[in-house]
Amino acid sequence: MNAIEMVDVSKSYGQVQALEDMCLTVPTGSIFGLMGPNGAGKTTSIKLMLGLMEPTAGSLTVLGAIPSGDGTVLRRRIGFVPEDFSLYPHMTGFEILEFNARLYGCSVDENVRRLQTIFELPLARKIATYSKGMRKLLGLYIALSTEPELLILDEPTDGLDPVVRSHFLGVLADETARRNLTVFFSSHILSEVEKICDTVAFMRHGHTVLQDEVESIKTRYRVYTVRFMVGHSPRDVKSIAVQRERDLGQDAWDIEVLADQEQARTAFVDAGGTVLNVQSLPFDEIFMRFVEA
Amino acid sequence: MKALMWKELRENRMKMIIGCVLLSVIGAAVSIAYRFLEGGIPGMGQIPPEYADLIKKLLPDFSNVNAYLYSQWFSKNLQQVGAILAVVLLGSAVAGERELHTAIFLFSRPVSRGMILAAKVIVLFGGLVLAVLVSTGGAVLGALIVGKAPQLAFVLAATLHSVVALIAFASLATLLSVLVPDRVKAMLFSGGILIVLSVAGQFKPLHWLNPLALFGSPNLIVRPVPQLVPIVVGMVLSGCMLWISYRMLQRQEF
Repeated sequence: MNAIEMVDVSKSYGQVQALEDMCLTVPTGSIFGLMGPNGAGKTTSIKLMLGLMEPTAGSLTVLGAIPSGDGTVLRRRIGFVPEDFSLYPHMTGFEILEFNARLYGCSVDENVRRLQTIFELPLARKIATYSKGMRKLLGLYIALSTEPELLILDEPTDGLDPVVRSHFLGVLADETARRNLTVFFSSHILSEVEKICDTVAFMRHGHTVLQDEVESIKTRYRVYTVRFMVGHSPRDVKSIAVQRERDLGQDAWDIEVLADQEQARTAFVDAGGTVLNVQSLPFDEIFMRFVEA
Repeated sequence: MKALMWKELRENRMKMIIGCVLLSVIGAAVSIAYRFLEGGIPGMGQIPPEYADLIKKLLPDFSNVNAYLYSQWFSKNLQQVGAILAVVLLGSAVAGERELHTAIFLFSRPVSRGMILAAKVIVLFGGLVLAVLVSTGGAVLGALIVGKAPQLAFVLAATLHSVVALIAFASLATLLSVLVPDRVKAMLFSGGILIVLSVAGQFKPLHWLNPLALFGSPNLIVRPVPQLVPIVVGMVLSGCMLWISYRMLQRQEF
């Protein structure tokens, strides 16, 4: 069973279309990265998954439940670290852990003590005295403390220095390896997504433009430079490719195409093109080409 | 629910303590001042006769401590400071969570929005009622100190009216707190609505609009029995506003 399934989900705020026919499948037990530029719809997708919003159209299931209907029961199985959030500054670290545990119907137990050996946060201090990095770590601590089946992280390392970021990602990787935890991770920091996620989806203008395993994306996609002579049109291959077009004059076009290797050559030949060059790209460049196209 | 109530209590305890102490001090001071108004302020001379006559015409019969408490405590200081306390406590209930960015944390926990609102309402309304009871106790104590015992039935009836009226004011502030995502604006809108309605209610055709009527009429002084209409109206208004608050909160997206 998949942990999350979104089929043709749309969400609009008045005139603004935040998501449009968004499709996504997150396999159980995976570390899934949702990538996209600011405003692509990542946070909206997460809020829909948590039942904080209702989709305008489409179907969405999380851990087999419908978030907008079973939100309260469903959220008991989810740990969530929001992007832009504050914790109650008058509480101490321990008090917020205890408060959260009571809302989840459990107690501050062995798991919290085990996590404390990993996070090493000053739990007796008030949250108001925590640095930004400590607050983010506390957010992850809180999310993991209730032993969730699904962990949803919205831009969790945004604004963190490299040391804290590395610690954060290390803890996340260890906890995921320890048990069958599904992690849904939204980010625009490409290096960390490439490092930690096994499956990713690229988002642009409110919908997914690609979903695949990280390694598969790196091996499948290549940049082809293809020349089309008069009588042929690069528009014939647009369905399989993301491209930059360069008009060479009245007789020819050169196009630079990011395309799936399995489909590319045949498609180019069928469309009357000649492949001039093939080049592999790093993961972050592939992402950039997809979202810029 | 207990965890949510604990959090509300923890978060608002200073507001509640300050409100309670402030109201109690005012209550006791108002009652103790009765002695000076009745007999003149020692060392400051008697009230000049021309003013004494005027004061007698304008103010209630000071030989009756119930009338004094009604005019100076229940329908003046408790009404005004209590209304401010109701607006301050409840105006920030939900709007404060949004403004301080804690809403996304709270509403993504496995508790229903109804339960979150209920915890806030129970604790904050409880704090408000406690402030009314303690401060009215202070006013009665002050009266006893100056040797004037108010009639118990009158105190109970006037307190009941005050509690119902202030809960109605607090319910309005709760509704505004749900609708407006800024706690200062929520408080200003609630206070503004109460002031506008109070002013409008001074004009005879709009008398029914006056929210201060929920505190009961001066008839309580002579007939210290709770008045059915303001109590029922206050309770129905509170129920409606809380229900709308709940429905609006359910529909909101965070």
